[in-house]
Amino acid sequence: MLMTMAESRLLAVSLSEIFEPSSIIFHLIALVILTVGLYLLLFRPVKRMIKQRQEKIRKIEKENADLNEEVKEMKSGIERVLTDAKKEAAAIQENAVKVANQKADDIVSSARRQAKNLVERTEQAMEEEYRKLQEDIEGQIADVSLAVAQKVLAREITPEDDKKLIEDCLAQWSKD
Amino acid sequence: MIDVNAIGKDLLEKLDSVRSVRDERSCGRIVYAGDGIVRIAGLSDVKYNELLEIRGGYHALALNLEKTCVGAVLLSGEEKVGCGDLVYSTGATVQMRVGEELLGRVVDPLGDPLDGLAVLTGNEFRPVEFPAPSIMDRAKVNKPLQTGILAIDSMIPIGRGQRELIIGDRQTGKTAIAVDTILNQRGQDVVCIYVAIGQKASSLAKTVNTLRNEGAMEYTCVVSSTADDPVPLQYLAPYSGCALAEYFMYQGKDVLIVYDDLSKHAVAYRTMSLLLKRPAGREAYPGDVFYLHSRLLERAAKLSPEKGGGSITALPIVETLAGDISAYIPTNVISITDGQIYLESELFNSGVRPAVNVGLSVSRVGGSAQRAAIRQISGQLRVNLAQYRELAIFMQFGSDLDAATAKTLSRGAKMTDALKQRQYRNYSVRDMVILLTVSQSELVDKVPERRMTAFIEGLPDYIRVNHAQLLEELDPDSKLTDEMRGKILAAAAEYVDCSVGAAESAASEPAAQTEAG
Amino acid sequence: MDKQRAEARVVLAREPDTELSEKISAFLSAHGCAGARYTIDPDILGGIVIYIGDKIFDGSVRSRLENIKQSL
Repeated sequence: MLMTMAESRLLAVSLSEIFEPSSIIFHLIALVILTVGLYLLLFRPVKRMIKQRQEKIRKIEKENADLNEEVKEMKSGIERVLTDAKKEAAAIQENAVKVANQKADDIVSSARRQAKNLVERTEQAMEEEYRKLQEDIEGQIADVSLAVAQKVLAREITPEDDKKLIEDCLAQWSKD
Repeated sequence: MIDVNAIGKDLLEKLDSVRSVRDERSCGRIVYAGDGIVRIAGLSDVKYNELLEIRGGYHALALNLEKTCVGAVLLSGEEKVGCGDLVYSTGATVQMRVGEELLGRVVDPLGDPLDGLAVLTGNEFRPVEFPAPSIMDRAKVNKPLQTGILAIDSMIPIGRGQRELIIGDRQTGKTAIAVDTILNQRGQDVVCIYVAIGQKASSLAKTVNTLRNEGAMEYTCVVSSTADDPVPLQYLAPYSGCALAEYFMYQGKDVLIVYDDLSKHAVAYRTMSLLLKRPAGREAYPGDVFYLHSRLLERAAKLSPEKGGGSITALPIVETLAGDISAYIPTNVISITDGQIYLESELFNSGVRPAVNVGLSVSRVGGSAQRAAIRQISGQLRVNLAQYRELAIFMQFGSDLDAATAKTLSRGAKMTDALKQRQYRNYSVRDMVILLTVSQSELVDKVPERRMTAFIEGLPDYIRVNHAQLLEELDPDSKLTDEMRGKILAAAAEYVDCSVGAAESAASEPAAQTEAG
Repeated sequence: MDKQRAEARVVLAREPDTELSEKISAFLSAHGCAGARYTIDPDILGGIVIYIGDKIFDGSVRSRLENIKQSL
C-alpha cells in the first residue's frame, strides 16, 4: 500500500468535498446547459449551412447536366438543318440547271430553224435569178422582133393590104 | 438551165393571145404634166377615182373632174409621160390583187411583188375602195386579240374587230408594239397585214427581216410604199392593204392590219391635194382629211355570224410631235378609233419599256375582249397603279414615310417593273395569269427591288420547266380558284427561294448563331 | 357636148381611094358625125385611126405593134 491511512482519510475527505452531491448536480446542470447551448448556437447553424451548401452544389450539378443535354440537342438540330439545306440547294440547282438547259435547247432549235429558212430562201432566190434571166432573154427577143417587124411593115405594106386592113377594122367596129 | 425552146414557145403563145383590133375607147390628151400631176383635155365621161391608162402602159387616177379638163395623179411613169400623150379610160377603179399567194410576200399597193421572189399569178382582184360593212352586218366584239404584251393585254385589251390607235412621239416603240403583236399571232389563225406608208426602206427591211426570222411571214403580207414611191401610191397603200384584208374577212377569217403610219399617209394626201390645187385647211391639210381616215378605219369591223363571222382588227399608228395629241391628225384619228395606246418618251427614256402610259391609254371594248382569268386578276391593277403614281410624286420629297405608304410605294414600283417587257419576248395567256397573280401578291415583298425585273423574266421559264402540269391545269377561260392561286404562289415561292433566297439566307445565318451562344 | 355634129378626125397612112372614102364616110355617119378632117400620117405604118369627140377607134398598125410589145 502506497498510501497510509491518514492519506487515504484525507483523500476521502477531499473527494467527499469534491463529490459533494449538490456541486455535482450543479456541475451536471452546467454541462447540460452548455451542451444544449452549444448545440443550439453552434451545431445546428453549422449543420444548416452545410446542408445549404450541399443543396447549391446539387443544383449546379443539375443545371450543368441540363445544359449539356441542350447543347447536344442543338448540335443534332443544326446538323439536321444543314443536311436539309444542302438537299434543298441541290434541288434548286437541279431546277435551275433544267431551266438553263431548256433555254439552251430553245436557242439551238431556233438557230437551226433560222438556218434552214436561210437556206430555203437562198434556194428560192437562186431559182428566181434563173427565171429573171429567162424573162430578160424573152424581153430582148421580143424587142428585136418588134423592131424588125416595124422596119419590115414600114416598107412592105402595099396599098391593097392597107385598104383591106382598114375595111376589116371598120367592119369590126360597125359590128359591135 | 435556160431552156431556149421554152422561151420561144412562151413568146409564140403570148403572141397568139394578143387581140388584134382594139375596141373603141374614150381618150383624151395631156395638156399639162408636172410634179406627178397631169391635166387631160377630153375624157368627158370619166368617173371620179377611175383608173386611166396612158400610152406606154402607165396608169393614173382621175381625181379632179372639171368642166374643161380632168386632173389625174400619176401612179407610174412620172418622167416618161409628156404633153400631148393620149390617155385612155379603163372604166374601172383601182384594183388590188388578192389571194392566199400574197401571204409571205412584200407587195406594192397595186399587188406587184417587191421582194424579188416569184411573180404573182393569181387572177383575183378586189377594188381598193369598198363600202364598209353595214350596221346590220356587224356583230359585237367578243374575242380577244392577244398582243403578248403584259401591260396591254391586262389593262388595255384589244378585241378582234376593234380599232386601237398606237400614238406617240418618234422612237417610242410604236412599230415595236405592232411587230410584237404580229409575232404573237402565230398559231392563232389570224392573217396579218403590215402596211408601210412612206417609211424609210431601211426600217422596212429591218421589220421584214425580223418577221422572217421569227417565222411570221407565213401568215403575214407586207404592203409597202416607201418614202421614194410616188405620192399617189403612198396614198393608195392603206386602202390596198384593207382590200386584201377584206378578202380574208369575207371568207370568215380574222385579220390583223397595221397601218404604219397614218401621219405620213395624211402628208401624202396633203401633197396630192395641194398639187391638184384643192383648197387648203388647217395645217394645210385638205378639207376631207378626216374622211380620208374614217372611210379607211370603218372598214375594220367584226362581221355577224350570218356574214361569216370574220373580222379585221386595225392598229393604226400616228406619230405626234412633242407629245401633242391635240394636233389635227391625232385628234381626228383618236375620235375614229375605239381607243388608244399612248406611248410617252419620258417613260421610254426612264426605262419603262413598253412605254405605255396606263393612265391615258384606254380601250373602249375593254373587258369583253379579255379571257376570264385575266379580267378577274387585272381588275384592281389600274387602280393600284394610279394610287402608286399619286404617291410616287410625294416620294421625291424624301420625307419620312409611314409603313403603309412605304409598302404601297414599294409594291407599286415592283408592279411597274413587272410590266416591263423586252422586245420579241411575248407572254402566253397562261404566263400572264401567273405573272399577274404573283406580282399582286405578298410574295413580291420578299424580292428586292433591283432584282424584280430578273425575277419576272425568269419566272415563266422556271414554271414552264419545273411545273409544267400547273400550266396545263390553268384554264384562262375560267376564273381563278383559290386553290389554283395557292398552287401558283407556292411554285413562285420556290422560285423566289431559288433566285433570291440564297442571298437572304446568307444574311440571316449569323443572326441565328449569336442567339445560340 | 354635142357629139352629133362633132367633127371627126381621120388619120391614114396614105391617100384613100374613093371606095375607101365612101366606106369611111358611111361609118362616120353611122356614128353620128357630119364632116371629117383627114390627115395623112405615114408614122402609123398602116390602118386607120378615127377620133370622134372623146372616143378613139385605133386600128393602126403602129398601135398594134405597141400592144404586142406591152403584152410581151
